[in-house]
Amino acid sequence: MLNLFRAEWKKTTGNRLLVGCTVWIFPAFGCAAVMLFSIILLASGEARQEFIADPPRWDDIGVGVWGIANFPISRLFLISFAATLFAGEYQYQTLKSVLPGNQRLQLIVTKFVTMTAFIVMAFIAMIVILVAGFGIVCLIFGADYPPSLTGSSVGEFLSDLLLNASITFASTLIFAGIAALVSILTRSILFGVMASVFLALLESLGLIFGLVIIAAITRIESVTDLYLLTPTYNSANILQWVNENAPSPPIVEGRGTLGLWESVAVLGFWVILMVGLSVFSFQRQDIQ
Amino acid sequence: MATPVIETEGLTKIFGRLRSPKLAVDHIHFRVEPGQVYGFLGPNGAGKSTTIRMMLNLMHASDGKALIFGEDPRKKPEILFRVGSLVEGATFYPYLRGWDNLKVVGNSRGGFDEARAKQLLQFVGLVGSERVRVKAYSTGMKQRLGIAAALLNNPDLVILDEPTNGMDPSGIREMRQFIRDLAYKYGKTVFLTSHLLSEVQQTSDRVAIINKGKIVVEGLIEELLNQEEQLEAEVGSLEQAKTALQERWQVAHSTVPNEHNKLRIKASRNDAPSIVRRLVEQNVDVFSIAPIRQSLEDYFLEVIGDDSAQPSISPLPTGANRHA
Repeated sequence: MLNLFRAEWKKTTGNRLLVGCTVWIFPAFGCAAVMLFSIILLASGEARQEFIADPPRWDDIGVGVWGIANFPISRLFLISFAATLFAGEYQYQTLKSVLPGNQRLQLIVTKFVTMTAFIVMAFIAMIVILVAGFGIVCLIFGADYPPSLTGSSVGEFLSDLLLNASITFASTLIFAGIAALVSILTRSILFGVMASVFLALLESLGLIFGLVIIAAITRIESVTDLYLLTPTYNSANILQWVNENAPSPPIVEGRGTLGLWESVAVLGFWVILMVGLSVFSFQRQDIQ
Repeated sequence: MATPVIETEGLTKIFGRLRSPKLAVDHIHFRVEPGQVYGFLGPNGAGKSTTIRMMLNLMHASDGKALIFGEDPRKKPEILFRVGSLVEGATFYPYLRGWDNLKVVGNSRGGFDEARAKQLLQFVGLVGSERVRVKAYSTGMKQRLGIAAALLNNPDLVILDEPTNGMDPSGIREMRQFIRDLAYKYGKTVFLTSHLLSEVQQTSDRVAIINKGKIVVEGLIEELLNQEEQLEAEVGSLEQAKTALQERWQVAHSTVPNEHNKLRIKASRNDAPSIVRRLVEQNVDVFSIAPIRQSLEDYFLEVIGDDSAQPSISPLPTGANRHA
């Protein structure tokens, strides 16, 4: 398994264009954000004064980074990365060299682990760049950088970070699973990316409007409750429960919401379903 | 008796079970013994690569099984670490250098041995090119790297599916020597498919011919080719000669292109005087007559005949240039 991981790591790091454009773009974005902010502060005295009066919190910056992964545009990059990781083997017809002797389950699990490792590395790098970068900006412009570093503030930060990372990651894994599944079935990077992006956009933007319209036409309001089964709602709901100890508001006034553990179960179900389906398809597939 | 290196038992593959099922491999049985060079021949679409893919666990058999070193790779996939393979051309990650591709293949097959990889690069003549990205390699270079990759884990069985594809004549010659060396110098078992039947004839001990998913003939090359003695006669009129001889002997046109006045007669060397006499009696000019040894190509065409899965080639119109 370790050797398989080494092979997967080599394949992935070697594809610099892919990793550069879909994974390292996140830390690069962090660098660009810090630089842009510094330029604005240098250019505008008003902005500088506002910045000093209301400085950013390093713990908010660090935790907030994980929210970036849930933006539709960020998902596009991560889905492209996942789709290429899986469909690349079909495009280059390399499975016939790397599969014999290995269990298919091991091979696909290695791919998911590698994908996870790269995304985690990219986001940790982004956190370090943003937190350190804004710290330096605060130092240069003489602003505070709260909260002060104590055992409790660091502990709280780490627990918030872990929670946000887990929820974001579960949600990312669902769409990566879709990308993997479509890539395995169609053996095409393009189809994998397109289908997953379409589903991601549909789920996060289109579905809510669709359900509201259907409910209005059919006069059956409970149709909108289907939204409670989506990954986006449930990841937002978990965060809302943890941060505010209350559920996310329903999309139609007066409709039901889900409890914390119900949302955890729904999100878990989606992760298992998508990853499981891609594993199942790969196990049964004939490699041409 | 030693465990066969490969043994198939009723191995079958049906594609598209629900809609218009196609029987690609039809209950085939064959055995490959240790140290043999085994030629697996057949026209395009006969089922050669599908059989190999089932042996390598890349495709699921619809029925039957293929045992490798006595084990079923579906139940014990790690048995395939004892197998090196080059299936339907060498394919690599084009963005990686040759050396990194070897690392990927080595690690995917149980572990990368750097010293062995260096030896193999020397063996296949790619020293100096290993630092170049594979997308810049020629087809021949990729094929050589494919051979090196297939041998990385020092396999006991080497499966080579069309290993000479894209190689120039000198490369083909080297490959022939290489296959012989694998078997006779290094004691490997080689399972080989190739369209170059003369190469197979020169390298293999035993062959199986597969057509439309079925093995139509299987045996030692020497035995298959020496089954019938034949004479080849060059005559003035082919039709007259055929008419004169076909009462007593089985007669056919030569299968060699452009040898339009040559006739093949299933007869022994001792029959040559009678044949000449008969032809002369019937006023047929005889320019030459000689016993011939059947080539594997002749034998293959005879076995496959018009039943071949390949589309037939229409004759060119008179005066047209024939392009290969």
